[in-house]
Amino acid sequence: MTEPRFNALIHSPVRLRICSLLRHASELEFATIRDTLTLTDAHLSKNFKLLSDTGIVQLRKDPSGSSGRKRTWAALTKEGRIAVEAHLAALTQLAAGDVAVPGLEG
Amino acid sequence: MASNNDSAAARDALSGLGDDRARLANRVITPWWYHPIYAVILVVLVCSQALPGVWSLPVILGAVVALTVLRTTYDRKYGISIDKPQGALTRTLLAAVIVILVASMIAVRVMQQTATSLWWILVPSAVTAAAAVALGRCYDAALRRELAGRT
Repeated sequence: MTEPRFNALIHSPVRLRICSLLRHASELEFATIRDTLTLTDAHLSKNFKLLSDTGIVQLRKDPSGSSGRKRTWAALTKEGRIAVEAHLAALTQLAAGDVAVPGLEG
Repeated sequence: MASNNDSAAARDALSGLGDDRARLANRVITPWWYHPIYAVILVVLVCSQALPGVWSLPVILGAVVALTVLRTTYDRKYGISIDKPQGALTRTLLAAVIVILVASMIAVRVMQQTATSLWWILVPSAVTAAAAVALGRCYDAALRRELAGRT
């Protein structure tokens, strides 16, 4: 069972939604996430960069067949998957009214 | 220490994630050509066991490459790559297809070893093809339900 641990970086609403989608897939394409979450390109890119810089998400460029334009694929890293599961466990604990959630300050 | 506000915010955050999962599940669409091609590749694997000696090996290798190409083509077209079952039903359906495939391959190998008329190969081939199409479609429907959290 995953040990609950609150993660402030993942907890941002958009990043939580991105990570939550990615935990159900091995990889998702940029446009799929953008359209599913109805985000703008800029908003998604900014959050991808933060998640990638912190090692939660791994990005991969894949040249598409038609125009040669590179498509970006995202996947949770092994550490990222653990952090997301731990954060979701912490949220579940919080939602149930548990007062002692590791990583949550204040 | 968590407050009542934290608890309410956590509940809100978690409930919104379910809606996102449902939208993602709606995007998991299997094109009409996917399962027939999948069935043909599995039948090739079954029939490969009728070949003598090591001749089945390159055929098996080719079929594995074809399965990979089929999967990659699907992933690229729809922007979604899900390479494992999401719940109990998809796990069961995947296991059922694998069991039928392996049993059919063994049956054909036994036919080849015992010099049985090769026409009998049509039986395990047809069973495998039917399972690939029928159980494959059930798998996709179950996958969408499990992704959406409606299991």
